[in-house]
Amino acid sequence: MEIFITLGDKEIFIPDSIVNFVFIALFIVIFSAIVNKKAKNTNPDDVPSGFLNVVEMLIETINNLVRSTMGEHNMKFAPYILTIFVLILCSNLYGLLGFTSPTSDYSVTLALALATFVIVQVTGVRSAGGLFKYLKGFTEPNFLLTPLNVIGELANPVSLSFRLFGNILSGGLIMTLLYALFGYLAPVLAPPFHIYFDIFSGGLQAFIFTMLTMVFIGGATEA
Amino acid sequence: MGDLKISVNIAPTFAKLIIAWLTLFVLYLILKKLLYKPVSNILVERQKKIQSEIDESKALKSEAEQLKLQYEAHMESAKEEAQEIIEAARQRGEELRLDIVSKAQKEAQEIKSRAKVEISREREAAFQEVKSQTGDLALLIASKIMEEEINSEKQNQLIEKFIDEVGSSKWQN
Repeated sequence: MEIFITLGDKEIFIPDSIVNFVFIALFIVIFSAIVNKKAKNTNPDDVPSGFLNVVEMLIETINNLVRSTMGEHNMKFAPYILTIFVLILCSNLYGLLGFTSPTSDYSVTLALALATFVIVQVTGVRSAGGLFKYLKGFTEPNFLLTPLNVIGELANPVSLSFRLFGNILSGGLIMTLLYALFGYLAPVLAPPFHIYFDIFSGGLQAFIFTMLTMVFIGGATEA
Repeated sequence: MGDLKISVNIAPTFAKLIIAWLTLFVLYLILKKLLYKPVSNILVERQKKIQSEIDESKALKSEAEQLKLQYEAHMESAKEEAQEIIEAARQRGEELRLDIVSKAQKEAQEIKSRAKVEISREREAAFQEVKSQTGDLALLIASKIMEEEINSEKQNQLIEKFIDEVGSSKWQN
């Protein structure tokens, strides 16, 4: 599904990847509303059960990851980590349903990477105690290394976004090509490739993106 | 092979970035409020509850161990006390036994000596009686013999008188 928005004489094209992205977000919102209702009806004294248990496990895993990679003082970032992990994982797995994965659109991955980048920079400035002190950190250990430090900092969102984008896009491309190759045999032959390109690679890339985000933000708070 | 249509969205556009950011931001807010906080609260509360239960059971365990030690000490002292009581009772029993035996011996001694005294007194009394009776008897015999010798003729009369006296009311009283 693609959308054209006309603003005056300008026409804005919204491709299906973005529409799917918003749709996935809506789906997650509905899911979390259901979980919320269940969580409110749950007595913490009871033995955990059912599908809330899975959500609890996910959140506990995220909490543990954040605690171990970023430290106890950075637990406020856990909801953001949860959001990008769930969003990227669902986006990557969305290709399984036969739609275009949102993460195979570079705009989406760039937006995610830039969001992380902005958080990293803001956190860096805050923990350094002022913009000047933060910028001064780029001249260390030697002012000659300043260009390298700056490039290194700017490379993070680029590598972050292109890694995810490239993996998911190439997975989708290979699957399309394989479907064309297999023809009528596709229902039999395609599933193993789906398992690898969508589930394994998609899950791995979601985890890597989340992990790197945690490492970057954690590094910014330590500096 | 059929025709293959693959679209690759590599060029980021401002509109797409804005939409993606908005989506991410709104989703972040909603997830934080709807999903993260309530579930985290459940986890924290459960953790607290488990922690408090663990603490409680630890406290109970140490209390039980203390009670066990106390109980064992009590048992030990009770055993000692019982031993003492038994020992004291045995000693007292021994004392009583000795006491009773000595008393009995004393009493027996008394009884024996009293009996001896009694026996000697009885013997004396018997001896005295025999002595006096023997005297009387000797006197009687002597007087009888003398009487006979003095008056032989009167013997028959005397016998007859004696028999008469026996037959008379004088003997019947």
